[in-house]
Amino acid sequence: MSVLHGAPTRRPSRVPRAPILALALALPMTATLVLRAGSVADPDRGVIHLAPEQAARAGLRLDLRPHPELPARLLEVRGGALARAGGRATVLAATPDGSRVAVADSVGQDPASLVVAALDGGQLRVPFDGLLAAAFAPDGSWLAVSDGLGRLWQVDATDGGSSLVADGPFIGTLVVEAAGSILALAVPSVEAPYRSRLVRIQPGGAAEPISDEELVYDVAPLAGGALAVVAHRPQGTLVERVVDGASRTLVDLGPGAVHVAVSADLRVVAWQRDGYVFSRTGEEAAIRIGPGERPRVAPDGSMLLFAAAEGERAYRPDGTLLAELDGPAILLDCGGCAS
Amino acid sequence: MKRHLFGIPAAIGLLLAAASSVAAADDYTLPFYDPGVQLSYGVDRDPRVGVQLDYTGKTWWDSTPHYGRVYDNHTGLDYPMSLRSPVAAAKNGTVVDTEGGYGTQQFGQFGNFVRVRHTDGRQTLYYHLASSGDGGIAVAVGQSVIAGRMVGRSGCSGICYGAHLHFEVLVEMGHDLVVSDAMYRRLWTTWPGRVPFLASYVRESNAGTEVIQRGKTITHWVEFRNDGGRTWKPVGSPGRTVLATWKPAAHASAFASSDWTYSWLATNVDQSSVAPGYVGRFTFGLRGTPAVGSYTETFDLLTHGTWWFDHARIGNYYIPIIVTNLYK
Repeated sequence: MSVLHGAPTRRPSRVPRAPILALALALPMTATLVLRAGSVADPDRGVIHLAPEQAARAGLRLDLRPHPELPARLLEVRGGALARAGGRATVLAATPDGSRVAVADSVGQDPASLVVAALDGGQLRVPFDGLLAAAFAPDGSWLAVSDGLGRLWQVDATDGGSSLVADGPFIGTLVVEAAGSILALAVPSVEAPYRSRLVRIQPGGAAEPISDEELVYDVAPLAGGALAVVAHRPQGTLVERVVDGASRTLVDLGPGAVHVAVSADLRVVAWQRDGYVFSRTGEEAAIRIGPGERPRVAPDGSMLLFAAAEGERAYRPDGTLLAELDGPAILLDCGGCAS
Repeated sequence: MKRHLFGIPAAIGLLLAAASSVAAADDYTLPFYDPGVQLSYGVDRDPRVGVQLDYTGKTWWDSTPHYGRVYDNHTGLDYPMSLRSPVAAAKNGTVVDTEGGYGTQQFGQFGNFVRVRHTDGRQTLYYHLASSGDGGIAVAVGQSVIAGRMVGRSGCSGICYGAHLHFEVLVEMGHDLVVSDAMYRRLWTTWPGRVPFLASYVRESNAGTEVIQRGKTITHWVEFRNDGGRTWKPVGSPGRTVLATWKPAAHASAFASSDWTYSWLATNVDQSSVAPGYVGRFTFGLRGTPAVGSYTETFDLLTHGTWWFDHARIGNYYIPIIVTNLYK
């Protein structure tokens, strides 16, 4: 049992750091260079597999509970593993059908475990040198993971096998596209990212910058293959629609708007400013939802979820309270589910 | 906590740093006012994970943080300080970017910052600041700042495990910015680096009680050592340093004589220039204007017209005064 509780040690990388990405970014934006000749397996990671009963006995079980009134869109995560993490656990990602979630027992640069929990209670625990973000592939078979040093890994969702995709550093939201490419934000520094550039990393490691913006805060896939890019400018925060490298500003949120989230049709935009969460639907005036932070918007725009002092809160974009949750939750990409 | 020379291969950045490793003549000062703040981690000049090269030239073949020296892949200088401590521009420049939307202690992948461009082809970055609403950002984009001016207040926004300032010096190379190690390159006006404004009491013309005949004026002088990193001057900006009334700041003094600039500003520093480490004298008159009695008048040093020196560190300077009708 001790192995379950042993903290992973910080391991020096066996992979030489590649300044090649930096070179790629210095070249014209259309350039595509090979970041790495191929992914590198990491057989020593020390993945732990727990059957449902083992997870329960160890007090590490995670229960995935579709919200009783919003089952197709909202998945609650409960269980002993969250308590053991002392409030530091963060739900990073879920498969579109909600059958698996990725939970970090802590986010940041301290050694951490990525927990891939399934509906049946079984789980994988994959140690990393810190965890910043994770995202499932559309079919749920693997995850893209950025570790505390900003390195990008591909992790098999069923056996936890991992391989290094690129050294980065990368931060921010990861998006795994249908073709297996990964969208990430390339930064000069994990700790102080005063610049970040949106890049697409191909399965073989080739990276291609896809936005001219110097400081990108977030990216989200939109309907029809376009991307929503949230960009910081000295004058304020913009939401842009990017298609084939061409961008068009859709919303100017002004200065101080951070943690911007959008629906897949860009109709609903939510953001944090001065400790409050705001939302805007279409051309309507922005409304202040309430005190909180880190809003997320359901892909279909039906609701937004954010962290309030008392716990997670789900609202309609018009400010109607939908649910008060007593633990972590994540919005699902319910695809064509009815509103 | 990570080095990556964004847009330029790491090797080029390191070559640049090495080529410029001789003592520089640049006039950077530490980006804060409290001389008690100490460096926790400096720049790692080796881009490899597991290999750390600190500002003294020592290489550490591990990933273990070495307090006071280096942290693996660190791109800046970390200075632990209390939340909302003032942060100062390290050199004259123009603000090119700010962010203050994140919470003062909001942990996340991005945080609040100020970035300043200098005329020497460098930029400085002040990261993890408090939120705008919490006073974290004290400047606006496009604004000129003089060295030592407050640009914001410290926080713990972004990837941060305790309030500190992450300070970076970047070299402009075309559209790219390359990390530079201010410690290794000794960019400070003094070595080791000093806070911009600091002084200590040296002596004065009369350290006891000044007795002034009512209606008459006496001359008093006081000397302070410039323990900061910026040169004091009697006129002009930056650098103008004056002696003014304190408690409350800039109050109209009952002892202002005709040589005072204002009723609260006793005098500029006497010398044309007082470099760091040297002693500046402030000479001014005291007029026995108020009624006969015993008084005190308190003074402090003021620079840039905005920044008051730490009064405690100049010995809580005040002058006991007796106004009398008797001829001295």
